[in-house]
Amino acid sequence: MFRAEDISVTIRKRQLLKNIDFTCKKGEVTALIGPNGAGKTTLLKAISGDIPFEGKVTLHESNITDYSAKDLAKIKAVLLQKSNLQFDFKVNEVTMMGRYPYFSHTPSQNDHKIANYYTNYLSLSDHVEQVHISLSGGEQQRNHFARVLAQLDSNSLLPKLLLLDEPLNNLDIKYQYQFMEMIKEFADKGNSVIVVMHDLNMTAEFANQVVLLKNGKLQALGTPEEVYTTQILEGCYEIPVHIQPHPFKNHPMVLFNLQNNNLDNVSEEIYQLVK
Amino acid sequence: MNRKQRNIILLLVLAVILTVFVSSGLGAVSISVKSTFSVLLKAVGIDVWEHTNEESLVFWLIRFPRVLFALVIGGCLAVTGASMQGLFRNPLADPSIIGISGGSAMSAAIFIVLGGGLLFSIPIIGELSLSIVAFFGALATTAVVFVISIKRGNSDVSTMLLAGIAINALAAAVTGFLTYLANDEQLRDLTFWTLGSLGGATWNKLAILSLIVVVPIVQLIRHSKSLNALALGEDEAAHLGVNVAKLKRMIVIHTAIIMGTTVSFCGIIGFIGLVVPHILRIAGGAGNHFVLLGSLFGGMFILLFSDTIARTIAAPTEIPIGVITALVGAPVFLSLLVSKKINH
Repeated sequence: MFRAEDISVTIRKRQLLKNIDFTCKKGEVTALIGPNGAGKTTLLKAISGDIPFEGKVTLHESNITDYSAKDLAKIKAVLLQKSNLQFDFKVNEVTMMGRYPYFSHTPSQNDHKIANYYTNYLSLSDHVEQVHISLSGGEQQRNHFARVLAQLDSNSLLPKLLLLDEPLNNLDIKYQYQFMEMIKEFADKGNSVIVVMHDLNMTAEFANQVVLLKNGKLQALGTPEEVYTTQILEGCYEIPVHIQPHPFKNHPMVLFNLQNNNLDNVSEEIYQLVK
Repeated sequence: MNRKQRNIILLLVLAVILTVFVSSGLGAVSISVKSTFSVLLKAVGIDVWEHTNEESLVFWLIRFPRVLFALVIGGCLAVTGASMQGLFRNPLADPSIIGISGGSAMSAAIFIVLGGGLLFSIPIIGELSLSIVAFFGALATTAVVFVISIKRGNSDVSTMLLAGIAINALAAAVTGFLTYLANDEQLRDLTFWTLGSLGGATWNKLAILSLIVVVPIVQLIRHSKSLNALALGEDEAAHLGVNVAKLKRMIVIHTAIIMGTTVSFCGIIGFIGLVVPHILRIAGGAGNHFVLLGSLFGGMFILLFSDTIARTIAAPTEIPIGVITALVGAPVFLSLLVSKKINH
């Protein structure tokens, strides 16, 4: 089980996050949502250890800083928003980088097997010999996803933690769904996933828990059904929201009523003019 | 490593062996490959073929130490070049970027021009005094660059790069000023530093050089796996379990030791550290286990090949080795760049 207690982040005297508390149980997908600048990525970076923070992050009842780097890498993996790989590494070599914590100098037969498995799992088998940076943005993203999944494929009995920062960027709708289903499948095996999301409906469909942030503060925490109310979402995103049950799935659906809002403003102006 | 990469390394090893025999034979006294074999076999107690006493003397006293010297230094140049490129995540990096060559040239210039005659009188150290000064000059400048780059206990690579540029400029200014002050003889000695030469090869120097560099070279090659992870970026590498701060420190210290030593014995030899790893990446891929191991043998081959040309093409005079490495390296490099452009 993952727990973030009282997380605050201050960078260059600017407080970016203030007293954030949440828990992600095993088998659950927790989505971090909120408008731009809310602190979603900052929170993910803090709990993944990339930036200094105040507060405490525990994984399986131990402080995350108590793990050795190698041991932690076997149970926690992070997929950052933008990866800037240098040099002409091939697709299978990039997936193999995920096996770093498992071999000392050269990858074992088992490492090769696992790397190949995840390259195929992300439908990249036709690109194995291709150079990673020659791939399209979406293909690169799939390659990195294969890498982090390969990283967490260990025989450790501890549940794994996967942290993802806007993983759906660059993906077409088919792969967005495929990604989310893979994330769900990974969590269903008893692991925890914390993912920064933009798409509220995708979040409602796949997340068990939603952490809604605004201006570095926690606005709401709960299931999508609990958090997705007109009052909460309008307060956060500052645009008119309409919430209704999804026509053929069992979760709320959010519609943004931006156009009508503009029309209202326009008609108000006309009304004022006429008056 | 895949099969292609293994074949490239095998090919380089064969090229090194072949060049050793050819290079040993070429010079004022020519020694046939058969005689070279014979001299070498005699050393291990097998006496099959004939060779003259003169051939044996020239081989053991002049040729072979210089050939081995070229091999060790070539390997050092290319492996440190590859490591620096991995550390800076940039194919244009080489050890001079962290102030090694600038610092050693500056301290050598101070020593040559402003005297240091005191040290010459001490036995053993006297012969090596210039090398010792240059070595510590290299280490000191690297230390300054490294310390400046540290932020919150972790060295910041882009600050390191900028500090290196500034320190190199400062060192170049001091060296330039001393060149202006130098007399003719001092100028000749200074030229040695900027163009490099393997002419000073002796068994003593070879032994000292090899003893110092062998552990750092092995260490750099052993960390190739971490360099692969570092190619993803520092944060990603840390998420994979790499101790990034320790890795960077390890690479900088080992590179400074290796390059400080080679530069102090043979001056600044450019281009090999830059070009050899690059050629290997184009030929066999970016995996650092291959690039570093390939650089070891590739650097050996290219430097020995260049040195053989440098000392034979205008015999009895010697052309500075730096001139040859650039003359051989630059066209090969350019042709690779052009062919890569066409293939894309």
